Formats: sequence, C-alpha cells, structure tokens
Amino acid sequence: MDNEEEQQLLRALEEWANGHPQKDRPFLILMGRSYTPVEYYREVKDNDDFRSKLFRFLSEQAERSNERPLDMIIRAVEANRL
Amino acid sequence: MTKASVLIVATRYDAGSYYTYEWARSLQQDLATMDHTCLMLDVGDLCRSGSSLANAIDCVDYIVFYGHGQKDEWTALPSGSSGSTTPLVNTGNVKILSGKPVYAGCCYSLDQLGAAYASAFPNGEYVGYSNQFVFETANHEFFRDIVNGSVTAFVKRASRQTVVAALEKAWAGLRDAFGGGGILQHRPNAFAASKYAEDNRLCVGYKP
Repeated sequence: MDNEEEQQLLRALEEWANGHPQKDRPFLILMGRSYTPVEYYREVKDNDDFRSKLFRFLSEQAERSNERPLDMIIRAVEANRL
Repeated sequence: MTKASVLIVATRYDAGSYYTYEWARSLQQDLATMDHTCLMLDVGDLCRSGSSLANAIDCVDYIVFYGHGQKDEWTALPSGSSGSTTPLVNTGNVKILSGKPVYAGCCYSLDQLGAAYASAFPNGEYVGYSNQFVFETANHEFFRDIVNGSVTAFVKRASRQTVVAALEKAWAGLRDAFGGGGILQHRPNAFAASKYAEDNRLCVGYKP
C-alpha cells in the first residue's frame, strides 16, 4: 500500500467517524478498553502500530475479496447514512 | 444426548462486561433449554456474599468464565485506588478449578493461567484466548453466537482441539461475512467487525 492509498484510507476513516450516528459512543470493545468511532479514527491516525495492523488487514481482506482496501471503508461510510 | 452440568461465572462492571454478561445469560438459557443443568454466578454477588467458588465448582462438570482477564488471572473486580485488580482465579489458586474442563471467554488468560492449569491438570481441557478478545457493538450478536455456540459444542463433549478448530473456522467465516461480497458487508462498522473477528481467530487456543 503506497502513501497515497494510506492517505485515502485515513480520509475515508475520518469521514466514517465524523459521520457516524453514534460517533461519541463506544462501538469497539477490546475487553479492557473501548473506542468510540472518533477515538478509533484518532488512534489509527496517531498510532503507527495500530494503523499498520488495520491497513495490513484491510489489504489482506481486500485481496481475499478481490476489491480495494478502500471499498470496506466506503461501505461503512454509506452504512452510516442508512 | 449426554447431559452436563455447567457453571457459568460472569462479571459486569463496565461496557465490555455488560455485553458479555448478557451473552452469559443467553448461554444459560440455551444450555438449560437443551436440558443441561446450568448454574450462573454473578461475580459481584459472589464477592459480596462470601460464597465459595470452590463449592460451586464441586457441583459441575464444566466451568465457563465470561468477563475480563489478564495473562495470569480471571478478573473479579476492576482495579481500585491501589491500581491492582482483584482476581477470581489466578495462577496462585488455579487448583480451585479441580481439573474440570474450562472455557475462558476473556482476554489473555490462555498463555499463563492456561499454562498453570495445564501444569496442575495434565488431563484437563482449557479453551481460551492468548491476546485481547474483541467485539464490535453494532454486530455483537454475531460475536456472541460464535462464542456461545462453541461453549455449547464443548459441553456436548467435543474435545478442546475440535472446539478450537471450529472456532477458528467460525471466526474466519465471520471475517469474510463482513468483508467484500459477504452477506454482512453492508452492516454498520463492518470493516471493524471483520478485522476483529480475524484477531479473535488468531488468538484462540487450548491447553494442554
């Protein structure tokens, strides 16, 4: 994944977090801590290890699904609007 | 079908454990309606009453824990002003589990607590997670169904190896269901549900 693709993913994640209908409520439970969508976006943006694990997963899953990594985030942005 | 007696021990003191406590209640209902005997203990009640976990363990064939864990403990109470948690079971009192088959639905406990259990009970069975157990709230029922379904299989006498192999397959299936082309791909937060189903797949395991 090149830098431009990473920037696209970050922008899409920001759109997903800020457009989330419950952006300030925990959506992810790590059984020890939780993340709201906005906190999750900030963690991805600011934490290199966290970001690289997510982006690596998105790349691998996109390969399994024969699509772009960005497509998973775009669907989540669209799901916010339903 | 062989009937079993099951002890479910669960905590509820924060967002994560409130969800998993509800999973435990659902599991109890599932097992009871399958005609298994199923006792559920709230750890907070257990601590307040001074009742003994060991007495409850004596009465059952299987032990299930849902809540928070660390590498060397199942956590009974969160950290207070001292900064340390109160363990329900840890590597120091693991013998309380009496060699009964154990399903640990919590983070981290497999490698140290599970290893201590395996050392104390070489013929025992311990299923758990070696890293953080994660779920996504908008889709938590799908995570619950995988976990509760695997406990049910365990209680039906499936071996720990069979249960973990089925869990790995189920987590991979959930990962792909939330991924592109999957039947859940348009659910809210599907990318995160997919990612953390995969993380759960990678850290489920058994001892000994």
